[in-house]
Amino acid sequence: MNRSLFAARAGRRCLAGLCAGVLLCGCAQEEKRYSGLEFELSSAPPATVAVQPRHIGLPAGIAVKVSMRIQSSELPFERHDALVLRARDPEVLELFSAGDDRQIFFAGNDPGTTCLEVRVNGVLEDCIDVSVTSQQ
Amino acid sequence: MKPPSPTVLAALVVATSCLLCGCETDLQGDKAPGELGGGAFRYDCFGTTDLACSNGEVSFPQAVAVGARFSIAYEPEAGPVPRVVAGSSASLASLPGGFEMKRAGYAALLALNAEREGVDLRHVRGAHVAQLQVSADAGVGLSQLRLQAGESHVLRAIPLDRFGVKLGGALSYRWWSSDEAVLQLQSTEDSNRALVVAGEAGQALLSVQVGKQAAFELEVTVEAAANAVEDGAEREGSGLSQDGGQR
Repeated sequence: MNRSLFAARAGRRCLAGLCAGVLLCGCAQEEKRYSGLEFELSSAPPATVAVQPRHIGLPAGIAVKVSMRIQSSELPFERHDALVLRARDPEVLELFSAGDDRQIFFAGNDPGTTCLEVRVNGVLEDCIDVSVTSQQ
Repeated sequence: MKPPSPTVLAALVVATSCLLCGCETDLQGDKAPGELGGGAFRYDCFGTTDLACSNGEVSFPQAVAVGARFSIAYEPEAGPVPRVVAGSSASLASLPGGFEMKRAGYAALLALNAEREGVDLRHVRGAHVAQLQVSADAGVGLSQLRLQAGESHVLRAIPLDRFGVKLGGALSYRWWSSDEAVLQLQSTEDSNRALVVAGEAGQALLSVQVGKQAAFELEVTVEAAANAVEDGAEREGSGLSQDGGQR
């Protein structure tokens, strides 16, 4: 009788431990989580431009080539993760491909504001504020 | 003194026709490096009225006049030749064979490969024509013109921005004389050059206008050949007096 009670208790403990282990493993599994775009200028425009994770600003008529890196709060994004950018209003900001999806040309067109849609692996992750100003 | 006969005028026109029209269309363009360093942008003559394409050579202009047409191609260091497109359609209008500067300020040009991928870029500055200068072909700006009856000169209009920078690009010019009996003008349509021929003694106002942007007026005095007197400040052997001459 005592022996069977002991076995039942041990079985329950094992089951509980197994469940806890599974839960712990599940919680600890990291994934790629978009946290922003990091820009770096690849050309030297003749006027001041701003390419920051939350804001892009450039004068109308000016174009600039930039390199980009997808920021993640967990596992880093890799080269094969697809990045697609699109200006909501191409009358304000025109985009030109630069050969791979981690480089692009921004060209200020008409003065105004819009936002730059950021899609990573097909998911709309962000819309970065864009302002195009008149040249002085 | 009688004005020159139609025969003399016709001969002068033929003799100077090369200066007034299209002998410069085969000029080799001037190059400037792309901002990404993969090749060079080549400025070509869009038309014969482009100041950057005058006097037998082409120079990449510091700035292009608003409203002017110009042509730019790209020469890569190696490989297929990309085509050049306007980075901003609001700044530059694409025309067959070239572009038109639509507003003042910098305008980006991009060189795109066959896959429509940007390989290089360059900015061109656009500026309004603030002043016009008129000069003899080899000279500086004129403030007044003194001619002997029968004398002729080829004059050229030079568009300048507000800083005095010469502006490139093909523009449309209009020349006229206040008194055709004193001063006759021969100019092909839209040309930045005109042949002026002194007629009978007197005074006339020579005017030239580029688009609606700027105008220039030059006082011209025609003297009878026997009484011709050179202005002391003028170049020896010429009736052209020089200074800024802008308006």
